[in-house]
Amino acid sequence: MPRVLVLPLLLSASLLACKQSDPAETQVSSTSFALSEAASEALMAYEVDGNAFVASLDNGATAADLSAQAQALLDKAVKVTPEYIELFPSCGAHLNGALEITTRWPELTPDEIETGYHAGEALPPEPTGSNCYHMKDVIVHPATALALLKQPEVDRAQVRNEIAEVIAHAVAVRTGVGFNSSDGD
Amino acid sequence: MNPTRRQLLASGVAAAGLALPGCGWLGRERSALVLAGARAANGQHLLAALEPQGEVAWLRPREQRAHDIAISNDGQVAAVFDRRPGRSAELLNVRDGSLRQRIVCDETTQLNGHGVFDASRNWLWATETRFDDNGQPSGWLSAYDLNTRVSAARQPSGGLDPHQCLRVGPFIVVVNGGYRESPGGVTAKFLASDQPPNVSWMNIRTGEHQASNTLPDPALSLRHLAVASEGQVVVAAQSDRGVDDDTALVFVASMAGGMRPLPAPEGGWRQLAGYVGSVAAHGNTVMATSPRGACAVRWNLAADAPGTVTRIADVSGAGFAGNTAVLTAGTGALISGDHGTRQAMAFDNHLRVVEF
Repeated sequence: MPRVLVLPLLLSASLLACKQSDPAETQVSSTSFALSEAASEALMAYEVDGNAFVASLDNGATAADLSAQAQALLDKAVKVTPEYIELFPSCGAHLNGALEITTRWPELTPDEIETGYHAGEALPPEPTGSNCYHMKDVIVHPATALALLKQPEVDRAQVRNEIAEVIAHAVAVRTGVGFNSSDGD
Repeated sequence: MNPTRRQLLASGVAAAGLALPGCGWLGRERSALVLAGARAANGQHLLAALEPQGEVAWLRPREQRAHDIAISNDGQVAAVFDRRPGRSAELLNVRDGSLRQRIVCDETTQLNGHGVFDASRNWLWATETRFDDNGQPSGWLSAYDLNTRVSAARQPSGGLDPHQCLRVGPFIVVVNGGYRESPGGVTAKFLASDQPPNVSWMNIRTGEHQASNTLPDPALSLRHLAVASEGQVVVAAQSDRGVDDDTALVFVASMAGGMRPLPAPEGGWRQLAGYVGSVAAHGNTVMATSPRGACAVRWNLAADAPGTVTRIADVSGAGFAGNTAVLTAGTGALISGDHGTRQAMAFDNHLRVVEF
């Protein structure tokens, strides 16, 4: 049987045709068909904090300061992931695998993270045609930055690339890139 | 006993891509079906028929991803078009998904995912892009005679990249998207300045071009259509300026009066991320969906008021079952009024509701 959910009253009020006036709209939180406001705000904060990370790095912030900022980004990603999996269940195995990086990164080299988690060799495969990689990268890039920042000689340009790139992935997650997002159709 | 949806998908038969008849519960009374292209969890492309409340009526495996569906005037036949660049359209019995016939194009012709049945003849009109020997594209509105199984008419569509078409009074209205493409998409498409996107009004008997409306904005590709109860033609666009574009994406067009934008949604056009996936109308209500913006927007054409926004991830299919709005999404959401289900499939951009 399909999973049956009762939608927020807001949606009901919004979709009835031919209404001359809207009934009172009641906001009811639901993560069943869209990310919650809290998750959307967390992703927007991720984007803002990602840009702040890049600015801090460009202004000469220390590795310790940058590590704290990268850990905060990772924490935000972990917070959003369960909702994302609820919305896109086919991404569950892939993303639950990616979440292991949150505890494993200290024992892995940046190259091992790259091949195992960014390229995905250590993860259950992403289902064909899905867009799980956006959420996966939102998790993996800050972890990669953390691993890079604890190297004896920090490659700051690479650290910068990790976070500068992931901001676009966070935008894609927040705006709902999926099966119907390609243009021209 | 016919197999259930789960049995069909689990059997591997669907995964083999065989053109089997659809499976369902024949004889059951239904008041309406929602037809939509879909992709099953195992990657198999489907044409899915579901009751608005979520019960699967039948599933038909497809070799290619389906796009839009046209319903015959008697409601008995569904023409299912490949997603562009497509080569074929299947004509199915609405009640059980069984195949009646298939239209296949030659290598110089690309179906663009949309079509409409003729008003009075057993013809199916479809939008096409044809490529000459040098690979140069041209837009066409073509008719296929479903009795004789031959091409019955072919007329220039009035522009490049013709996409959705609908019957509107004495016309077939075609939106020409304006992209100049190459065969097989070998080179990147672009909006051609010499043949801008337009809404073209075609003679319903012959398909001949009568008039066009264009927008002054060269970055908007016009792609989708709906017709409201008083004959207003609603046109939806996508922007080449990207996800941060804040220009209007939904318009009302008239043959003589040009095109006017609908009021911006609450929060502005930017939240549609420059892309409308489909548009539907019933009475004075217009629904437009933005899968990139993860939202559906509702307007009342009788009121000069901002569109009301509802957040739904990857939402795209839009239609009406009576007065009730129906939406589908790439997440498997099927939403009918205030009732929603999650199906084990990703729905394509468009849906059609057939009421019995």
